[in-house]
Amino acid sequence: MKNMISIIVLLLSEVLFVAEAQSPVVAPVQKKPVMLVGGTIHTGTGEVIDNGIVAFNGGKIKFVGKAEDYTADRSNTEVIDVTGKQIYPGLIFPNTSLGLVEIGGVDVTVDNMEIGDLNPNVRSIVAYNTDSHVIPVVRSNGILIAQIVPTGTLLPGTSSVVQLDAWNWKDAIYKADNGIQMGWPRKSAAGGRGGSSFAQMAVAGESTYDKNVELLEKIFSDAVAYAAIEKPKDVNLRLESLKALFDGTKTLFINSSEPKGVIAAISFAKRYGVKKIVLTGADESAWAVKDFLKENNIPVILAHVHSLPKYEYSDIRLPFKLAAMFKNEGILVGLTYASQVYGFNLPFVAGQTVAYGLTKEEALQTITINNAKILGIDDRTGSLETGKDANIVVSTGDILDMLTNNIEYAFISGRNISLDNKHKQLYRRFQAKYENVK
Amino acid sequence: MRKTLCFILLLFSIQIQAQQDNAPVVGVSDKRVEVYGLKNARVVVDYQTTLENTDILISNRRIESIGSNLSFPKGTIIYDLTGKTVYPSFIDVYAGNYGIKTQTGAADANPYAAFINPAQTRRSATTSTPEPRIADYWNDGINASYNVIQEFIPDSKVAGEYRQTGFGAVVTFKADGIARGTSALVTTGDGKANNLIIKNKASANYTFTRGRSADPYPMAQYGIIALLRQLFNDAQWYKQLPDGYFHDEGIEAFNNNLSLPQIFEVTDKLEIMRVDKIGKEFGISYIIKGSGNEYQTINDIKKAGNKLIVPLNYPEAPDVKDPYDAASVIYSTLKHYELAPSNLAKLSDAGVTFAITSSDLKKRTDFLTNLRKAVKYGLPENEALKALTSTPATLIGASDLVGAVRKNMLANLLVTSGNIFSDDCIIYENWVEGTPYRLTDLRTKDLRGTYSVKVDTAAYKLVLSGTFDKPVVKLTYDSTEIRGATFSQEKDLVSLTFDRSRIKYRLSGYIVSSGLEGKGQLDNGKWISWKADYSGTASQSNTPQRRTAVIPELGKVIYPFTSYGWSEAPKQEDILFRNATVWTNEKEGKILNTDVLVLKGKIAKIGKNLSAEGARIIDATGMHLTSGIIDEHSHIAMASSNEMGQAITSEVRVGDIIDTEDETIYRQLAGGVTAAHILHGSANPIGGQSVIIKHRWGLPAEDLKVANQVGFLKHALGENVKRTTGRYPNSRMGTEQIIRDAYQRAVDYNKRWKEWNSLKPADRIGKIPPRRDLELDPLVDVLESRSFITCHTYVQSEGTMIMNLAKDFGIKVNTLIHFNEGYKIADQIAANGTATSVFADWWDYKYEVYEGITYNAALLIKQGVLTCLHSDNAEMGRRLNQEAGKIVKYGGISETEALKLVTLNPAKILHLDDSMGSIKPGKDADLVLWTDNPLSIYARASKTMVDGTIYFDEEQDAKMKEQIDNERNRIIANILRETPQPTSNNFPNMPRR
Repeated sequence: MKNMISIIVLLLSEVLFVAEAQSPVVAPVQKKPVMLVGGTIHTGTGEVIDNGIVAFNGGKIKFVGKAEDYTADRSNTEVIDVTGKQIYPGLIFPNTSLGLVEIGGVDVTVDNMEIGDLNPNVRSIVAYNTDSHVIPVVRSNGILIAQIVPTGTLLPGTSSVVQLDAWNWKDAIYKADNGIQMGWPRKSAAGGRGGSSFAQMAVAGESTYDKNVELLEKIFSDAVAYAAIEKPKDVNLRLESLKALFDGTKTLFINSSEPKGVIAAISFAKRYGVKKIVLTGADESAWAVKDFLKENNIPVILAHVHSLPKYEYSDIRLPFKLAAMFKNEGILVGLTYASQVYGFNLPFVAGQTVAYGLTKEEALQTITINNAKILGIDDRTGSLETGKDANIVVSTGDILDMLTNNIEYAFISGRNISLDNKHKQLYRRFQAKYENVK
Repeated sequence: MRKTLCFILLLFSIQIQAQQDNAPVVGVSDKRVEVYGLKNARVVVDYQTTLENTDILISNRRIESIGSNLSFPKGTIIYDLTGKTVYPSFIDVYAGNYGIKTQTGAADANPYAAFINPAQTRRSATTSTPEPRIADYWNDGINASYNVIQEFIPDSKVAGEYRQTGFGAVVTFKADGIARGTSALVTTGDGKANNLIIKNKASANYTFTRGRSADPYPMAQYGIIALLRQLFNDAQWYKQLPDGYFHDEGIEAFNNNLSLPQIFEVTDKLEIMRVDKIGKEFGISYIIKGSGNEYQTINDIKKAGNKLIVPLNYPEAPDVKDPYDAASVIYSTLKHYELAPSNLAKLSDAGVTFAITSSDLKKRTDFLTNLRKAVKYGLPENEALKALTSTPATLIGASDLVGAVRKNMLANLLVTSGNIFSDDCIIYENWVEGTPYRLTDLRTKDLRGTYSVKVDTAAYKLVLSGTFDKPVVKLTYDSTEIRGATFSQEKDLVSLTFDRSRIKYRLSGYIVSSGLEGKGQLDNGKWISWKADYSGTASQSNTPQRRTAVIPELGKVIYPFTSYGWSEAPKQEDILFRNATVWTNEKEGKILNTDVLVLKGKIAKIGKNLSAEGARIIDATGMHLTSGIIDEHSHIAMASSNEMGQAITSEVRVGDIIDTEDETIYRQLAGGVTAAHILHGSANPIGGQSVIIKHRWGLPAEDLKVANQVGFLKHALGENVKRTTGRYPNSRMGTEQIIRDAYQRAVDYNKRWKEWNSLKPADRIGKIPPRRDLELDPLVDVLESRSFITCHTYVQSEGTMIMNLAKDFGIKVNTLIHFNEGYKIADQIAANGTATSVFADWWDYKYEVYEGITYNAALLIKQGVLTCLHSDNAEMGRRLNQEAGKIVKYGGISETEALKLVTLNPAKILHLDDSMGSIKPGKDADLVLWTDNPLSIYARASKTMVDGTIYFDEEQDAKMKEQIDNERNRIIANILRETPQPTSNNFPNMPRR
């Protein structure tokens, strides 16, 4: 029996290998209605529905609810029995360099950072490589949507939101140019021993603080003035890119890891009339000014759950606890993962917060609906609700725990996407080796 | 003006030293009387003896006699010192770079600077290498043949500061290099260098600081320790060589210097134990110049037994004005700020012998203030005096010359107004080798007191209080104080100015028997007379009280001295875990509702309903009990990570530089990790000897080491090794060759030693003994299976290469670490009997891991390779249980086998599975109690036990965090309450004529 399976695997891999020496084939558009029947639905709105049905057609969700409540026509529908399995909204991975960086240690494959401090105009979307080998690896644990961000110093560039199964960046776009990234300058040297250095976009050093703040003040005041001109004689790409911050069509994503820096940066943005503000890379410094964040209704994306505390005297498990702490303060909190190549661990950092204060459904929200709200795409995705895009993941078990996370199906706008990837291909290839050399 | 001053100083110098000079007379000779009699003083002979009403006769720079009612010979210059106190002047045995002008090495440079700064590292390895300093030894960090007298020229400014703070003799040395050569004891007088030297080669000096070495090696502290060890071995070998065979000035000097006092400087208290360990290896008891934080490991220092030289460098108050900014001030900085002044008191209480040095002060002139602060914080006065006189004199073997006021000793003494340890004490004079240097002129009359003053026709009251040299003036007219009055005195002349009724009074006068009198002029030009009659002492109420710093109630010293250090260390307990799900890692597998009894640090019994046998019962219902996690590859708790100065550095030992204060140790405990294999970094093809520690948080370095461990030698291949620009190797081809060459050299070396050892002693005569090579010894250990290869490997080609290379030398690679492409040659690895230690899901951070896959571990396991997971990372290290959980997902390994990947398998790979890695009677009680399935993301370590001691406990951890917060707040509040104290030691400092 075991041999039989091996042979089947072998035959399969021979076939697949020929077909899939590269990233898997992009899934075709949804052509007929699909029904997922019998699973436990985690809607992302906090609700759990046992023995439910999710139905979708034309890329949109048509029904989410208990099986017995489903009354529509089932003919000409692809019915997938997912009894005993778990159904989730597709996971959303914000603030990442996925598709911009292929191998961090090989310079020529790194495309997430432009020269200079003031590059609000550079757009991540035009460099987003849909053929990156990293994307299918990340995707196969349930991540379907990502915000692709440039990194750098003061104004690294403009981010876009993409779906993770596309032929080209144009058809990857989920929301183009959704945000401007801003790194608020650092005033002090790095924190205590053992401090985390994840996502250090900000510039170091007190000596440069004033100079850098002045650079930001200048470009923002210029941008406000520029925005008032209907038809500028000299078009300025930098100022042009900032315009949308003042009418709320772009969000300002602020990165600061100092308490006073957080206050200074948000006050700065408000002073210039920026409509939508998000704090990214939030850590215990942001917690120190939580009241300010709450008063100003600022959502946060936590820097990294799996990091060491900032100071040697900090609660040693503080990074695990922060999500629940912010949530309990009524602050909208989303999670990301520090490195794009390990994005497949995003569900597990959400799971980590469960042992430290969140419920499982709340933890799920930190990587689905909350991130959708933060990225401005919650009208289309982030939860399993009728009318939203059919971005759906089916896992054998609890998606947040690596013991049970096993993605069996994933749909992006109803397209049944491949879950194969480079790791699985190499796995099959070397399983075959050991069969062959026996 | 400045030039004139220098000229005057020069004149003094010549004159003072004329008597002891052998230089020819220039112009008309001017030899003066130089016999002095000091009468009626209170004489502190040494730290134990004080004599009242005592006379001292000084002649020919020495103390001729001392006693009561001495009869002074005719022609003696006599000083009446009634009411004054004479002390032996202080000795500083650590006057680094005093009188050294060519100094170019950074004396206090961070020993790791070269490593930390990659730009500098690259530079020193390739271009613009500095010129070697001295032609001794093969390594430029060693300057054993240097003697400070080659360069010493006294620096009158610094000498003045030494005299002002009470020092009469100091030991100068050049603070540059690891072995710094020899020092000299010199006086703090002015004059020609040759006249100031009391004792040349007072000590031989060493440090962990590489200074201005032209060699890139050694960069890291364990490289420096390895170099010293090699030097000792070379020195012993050198002694056996026949005459004329080989000359090395450095080794020769090093050997000769061993008869001198050996002084070793450290920058932190943990280094004291490191120095002591090297010393004990070679039979030397180093005198250790400490860094001022010795109280933080006082028991270990006492146990080490070294004599110390300790500075008074108290830290400045950290900036805590802004509550947000104050968050970045680390806990140990706050604690040390509060406790530093108690360092000497604590050393004294512990019975440690120490000398005090004025070294390391921001301003040398803060010395007395800081010394007095130490006394206020509990250092007994006689101990303080001992540490400044007798102890330093004894340390350098000069107690017959300096350190006491005794017949025949050098006339190095201080004349003070009283107890030198009280804040208001004035040092009037510092006598250096019989030459008095005036700090405050004794002949100036003390004018403090109350006076009835008549200016023209008006009557005033004048009170002069405060200090003798700078009295505070209070002038009243008609019971109203006149603000802004000034008073000054210049020997016999005085002046007084004030405003009254919009008239400016400028009075000038002189001292008379009844008080003061003189003339003055008003601002309208009118001259007047004035007179002040002494009417009594300044009453107490008028004397402004000197602010005495309130000594705060001091917090407890914690071990280790960082956050989550213990004020009371946890103890080993007998414990019964009741009703747990027990993951045995043995054939019983995972068993439900089971008890585990821990007695005397060992697992005693496993079973249902066990009797407690007096042990404390912990209810583990609903919880999971596992063996402690062992991190097979970690870089926590080490003081440096790479010795990049050379490509082959098998001689360095991680065990030499364990950092017991790395809070990561405690954080690992919170993740259920009880032991770790600590390795050299991956910069070198052969990096060094690793060490296995248990996380016994709070114990000294030697006590962290796992007993009976075999050796492991870190090897590394691939990108990290190639990356050091300009250093061989630059390719995987060269990497293979440099490793092969090292082993080939070791084989030949071993053969040479075996031949030598087989010779009868008689046959060895006239033959050259082989040189002990500490780089090759560890390779011989590997060749003879006393130590094992653990090799950083990424791509399949290099894995095959290193296994075959080892085979060529008849050995086997023990562990291939990281090995992301191990899955590609799992069959080869299994056939070779080699183990792998890998990441669960790391990949793609550089080119050589682009084909790393999450299924690596599963493929290796399925091919029969003994495999474990490791962290190589302080953060992930505390979640190794989750990493094991991932292997269930990626490749379908069973849960019980997955847990073994971080417990039993690393124990086997590290040859420790007879005592660790599973729950089995007789094994070490390294246990973790989890709130959930330990492989699940939802599990927390609730309790972590090492050898029966619970080092981490969730509840206790929360209490400790609260204590830390309270203690931070208390110290910050104290800092905010303090106002900066003005320093008042700015005395003029000119030799008296």
